[in-house]
Amino acid sequence: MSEIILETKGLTKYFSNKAALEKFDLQIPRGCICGFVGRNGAGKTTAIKLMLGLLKPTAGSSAILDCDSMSLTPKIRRRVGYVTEGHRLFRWMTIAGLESFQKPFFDNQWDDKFFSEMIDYFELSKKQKIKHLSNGQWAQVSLALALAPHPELLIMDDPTLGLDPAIRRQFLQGMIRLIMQQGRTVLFSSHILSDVERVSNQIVVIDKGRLRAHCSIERFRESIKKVKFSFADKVPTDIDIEGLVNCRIIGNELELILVETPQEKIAQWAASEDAENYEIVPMNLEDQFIEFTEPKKRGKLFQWENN
Amino acid sequence: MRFLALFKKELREAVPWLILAVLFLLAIGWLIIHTKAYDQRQWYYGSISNGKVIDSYMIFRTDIMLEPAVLMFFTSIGLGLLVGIRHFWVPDFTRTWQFLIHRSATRSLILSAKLTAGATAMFCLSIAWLLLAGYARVSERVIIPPESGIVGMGIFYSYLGFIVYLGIALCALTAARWYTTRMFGLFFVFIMFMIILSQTNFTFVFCLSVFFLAVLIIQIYEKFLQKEF
Repeated sequence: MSEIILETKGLTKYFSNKAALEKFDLQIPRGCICGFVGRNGAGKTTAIKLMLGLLKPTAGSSAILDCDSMSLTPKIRRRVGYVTEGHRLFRWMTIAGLESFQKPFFDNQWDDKFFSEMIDYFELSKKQKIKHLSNGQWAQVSLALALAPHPELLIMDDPTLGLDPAIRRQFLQGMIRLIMQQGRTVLFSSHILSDVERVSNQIVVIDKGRLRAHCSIERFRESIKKVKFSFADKVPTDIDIEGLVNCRIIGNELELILVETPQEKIAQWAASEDAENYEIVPMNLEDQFIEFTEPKKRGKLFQWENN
Repeated sequence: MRFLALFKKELREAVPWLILAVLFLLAIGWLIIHTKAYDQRQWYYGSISNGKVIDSYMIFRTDIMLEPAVLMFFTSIGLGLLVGIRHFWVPDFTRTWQFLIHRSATRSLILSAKLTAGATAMFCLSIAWLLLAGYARVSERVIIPPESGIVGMGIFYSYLGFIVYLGIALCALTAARWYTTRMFGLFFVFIMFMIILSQTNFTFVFCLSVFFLAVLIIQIYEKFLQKEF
């Protein structure tokens, strides 16, 4: 079994009486590129801040590189890159100023050449002031700063938020440069499922502060199905089928969102409910994610879900 | 190296306010000194001459640096307030705390760099005060040079400015609501000023302010280590 680089156990965070994260259990093995997805307010940023020891958990624990998040030593932090949400940098500094500010914290780990290459790659000048850069350029500088010390683990909080498609692609290419280095682990939260699909090999789905799924992208893609049933007259309303996540009635058609429901069970159910026919509607990852997290009628819990 | 990097960054953030405060102190202080020096000359050349008898109350003159000292008091409080806000509040608004905290440095080191930069800013203000006092001492326009006691008072005021800086820091680091204990830092500083400014024994005042300083620093240290970013 590969080494676990990031682990949370029953991680819970309450703000006043409101749960932002509840019993969040996650294990990220070394070398994994993990897309962390969830709707707005699902608890992604809270989870990341808890993992990095920036927030104190109400219950549970989290560890990075075998060190408890609440007592991360400077040595451990040096091995963990972090790209903050919104790429908040010191606006009055130039890129060169930021570089010389960051460098002393990494000793020999800081790669001058790599940083300069990244800045050139993003077509930036080190003389530029941060306050004069666009959102996309902030993201690029953030990424270059996080990658230059070649961190073992890179955690990014919605790094592509607000970037146009071209800049986003360039950003992802930059990320892939890190991924190409062996043994690097990346956890990045995003709303953009196509980005997640492009670069990650694992997906973590969080919804209302709870972990809903953690598996490979392929498994996620295969497991979530939209099945459209046609009925001659009355559409059944009392639906009992394994893996039901959501259902929708459109005229005399019934759309079911099913998770890990075997093909034969679908056929059996269609026969038992006198459906005229049924078809599996192809969905992209984004559709699957939306259907999976849509707050509607739910059947039994998904196999990967926490109770 | 890490401390130096942090210190430089914090000092650079304080520099615009420091320049503003120094220029304000020097410009207004210079004007006051010149006005007072003119008064002194008027009095000296108009009232004092060989064999002339004058009333004793006319001999009493206030120190030329007394009014600049009042100016120094308010300037240092203003600077402490502004630098405190820049160091501990602005990162909340600009959301740069996370970027600052997640680095291979302990929170104590980050805090000590901030506090040292704050203290350095106040020290620089006291240098400006000394320059002003030095000018009053060497200027030929000034008939009665300032006393060293009042010059020392100005330096002490810059120390009080640092206390205000710490008060603001404590307010900013406290997670409580504004209308509850979050204002404790400033309230504490206010009470401290009331006590200090009502005393006349400088040694007592100094000991008292060191005690208040220690209380504030311990509180700030605790809050900073516990703070959620």
